[in-house]
Amino acid sequence: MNRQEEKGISQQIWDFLSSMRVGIGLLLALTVMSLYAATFLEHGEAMERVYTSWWFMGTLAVTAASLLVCSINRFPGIMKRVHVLKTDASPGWLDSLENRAEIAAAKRPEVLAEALKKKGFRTGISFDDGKYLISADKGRFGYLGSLVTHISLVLILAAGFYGVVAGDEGGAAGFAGRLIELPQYGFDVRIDDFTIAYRDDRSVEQYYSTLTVIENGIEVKQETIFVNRPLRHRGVNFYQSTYGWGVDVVFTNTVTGEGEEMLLTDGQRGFYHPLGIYVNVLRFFPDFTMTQGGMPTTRSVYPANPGVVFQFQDHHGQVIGEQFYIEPIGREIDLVDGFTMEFAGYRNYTGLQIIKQPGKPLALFASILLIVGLFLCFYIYPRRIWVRQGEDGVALVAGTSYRNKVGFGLEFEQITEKLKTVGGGQ
Amino acid sequence: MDPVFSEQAFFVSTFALYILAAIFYVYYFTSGKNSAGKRATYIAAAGLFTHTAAIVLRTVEAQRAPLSNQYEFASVFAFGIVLCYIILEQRYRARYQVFGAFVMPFAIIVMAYAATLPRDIRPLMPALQSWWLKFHVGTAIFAYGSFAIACGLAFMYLYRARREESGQLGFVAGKFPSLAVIDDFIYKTVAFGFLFQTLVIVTGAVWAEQAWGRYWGWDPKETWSLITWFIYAIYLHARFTRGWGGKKAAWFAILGFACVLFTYIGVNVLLPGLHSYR
Repeated sequence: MNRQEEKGISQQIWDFLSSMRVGIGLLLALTVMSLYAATFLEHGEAMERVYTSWWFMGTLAVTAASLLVCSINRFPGIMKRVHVLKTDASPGWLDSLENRAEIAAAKRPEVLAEALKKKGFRTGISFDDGKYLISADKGRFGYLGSLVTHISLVLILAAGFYGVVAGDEGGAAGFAGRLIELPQYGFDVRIDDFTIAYRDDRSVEQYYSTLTVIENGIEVKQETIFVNRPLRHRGVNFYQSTYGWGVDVVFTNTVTGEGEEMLLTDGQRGFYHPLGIYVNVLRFFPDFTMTQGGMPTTRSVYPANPGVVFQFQDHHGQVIGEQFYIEPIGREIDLVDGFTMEFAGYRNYTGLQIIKQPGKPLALFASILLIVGLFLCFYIYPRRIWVRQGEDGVALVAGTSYRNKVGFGLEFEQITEKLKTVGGGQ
Repeated sequence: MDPVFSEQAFFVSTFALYILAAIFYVYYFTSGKNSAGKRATYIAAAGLFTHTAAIVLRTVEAQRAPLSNQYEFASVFAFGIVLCYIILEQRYRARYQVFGAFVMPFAIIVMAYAATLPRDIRPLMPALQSWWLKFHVGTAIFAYGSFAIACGLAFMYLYRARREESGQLGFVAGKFPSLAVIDDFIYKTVAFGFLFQTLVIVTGAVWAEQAWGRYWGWDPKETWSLITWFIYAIYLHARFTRGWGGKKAAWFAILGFACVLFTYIGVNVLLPGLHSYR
């Protein structure tokens, strides 16, 4: 209690953050929170609220602080172990190690050290009371594993946080020909073309949007994007995200021969002045059919039998005639007084996501660092071996490893065999 | 010969060989006869061979990597378990073959699950048409295969620990290696799996950025793979923490594999999201 009081509050926080138990506690807390959100909340907004809540973000921030504090705390010790060969191995301590063997001591220590060096060990020879002690270690960069791993995780969290703060997300949709103006990014993008490739079974194989980037009126580049291949320009990315249908509506006055064309998408209505009416496209069905209940539906996404469900409205928006009509493409409908209307054709528009994620390069770099760190952790395992000359012409070989006990046991056997035979004889 | 029929024939042979291998592993475990252990390994290896043939035939038939629905992943998942186990066995020169009796059943269960799934070959939806599919799912094979082994070993650990506490090892636990050795092998397999699980998440993030416009989006499958990662991270830290090692750590290795199964099956069945490929 006394010691606690002596410590300042900042020291207490530091100790708290550097504790492994607290680290495990934080991991458990994150597990419980994300498990709750991913499993028991509805996909979308409810989940989003958890992941953007102060308590979830706060836990992530404390985790980042904990990772950082652990790394700083352990940094000097790790660096010392990487740089300095441990040569203070007392006989009593060596006797306590799990891996031990005896060899003839008569050999020159240089010969034994050379044999260890050939196995990839760093070696040093010291003398104590006229008796030699060979110290050797290998895989010392493995000590760096957890440090690199933890730092990379801090960087990943930082990249995510930076992305939330500095990132930008939007969308745009349009038919071929539309210019998407993006003054905030200093360039515009024109949709040149949009096509859907279908398979024989009428399912969608791929969506293709051809886009041109225009900077200060000059066409900079043209690319065709599809799902899995975005357009990237000045840190802004354009993704093929969605699509929809539009129908060409043509009104004609057969008396004067005058006509008017409009392009309408689902839920959109267009006003025809000469008659003072709206045509309201309720829904376009690419492969029209009726359900058994008498509702319009589509058999597939392929335009095999396109049909339009629509209604007429007066200039107040009141429905004229039936609640809805169903018409195929290319059939002229007689209205009144020699006026006709026709759904002359259909087209697809493309829907793009426009996203700026400035944290991405850092996140990618940190991810690679994470993999390197884990590799160092798990596959470069530090081990140390000492050969101490003892009494009666015997030398004790003793070794210890940080991780990988079984693997080191096997390696230790091989090494002692080698040490027994090197320089001739047993 | 019809490739679909041959694929099925190879699949069934593989299933049979894995069961036979398990029987020999159990026989080796109870009798301790080296010849039985050798046979078990040969049969498991033969199973891997026919399994490879089945996977290759499906690749030819589908004209793509067979890694895109529940059946295809179940098949390569079982392949991953046996492959990782055989690698482990060979690395330690068959010293710890007793593990086979506790690992092969996992492969058999996953194969049985695969057998219940629809196996018709369907074309890939646009989001799945990517090179990253191979890396993303390919790394998952090793992660999940290795985690399955760790889970089997964790059961062995807990059983032996319980027998040791009761003071009587008994016939079964008496044939197990020491707790320290089992613990070391759980660590090795979790570590290998963890490295690959990290790769699964990283390759998934890179791919998601290309396909969906964000590298992380808290999709249920993404989140569950992260939960799995958290649980194994806890395992890795628990081993070095007083009061958290031993049995508690072993429980986390089991819990981790439960998360793997939930990510693979539970999320698809129960939680809708971008990853719902049936």
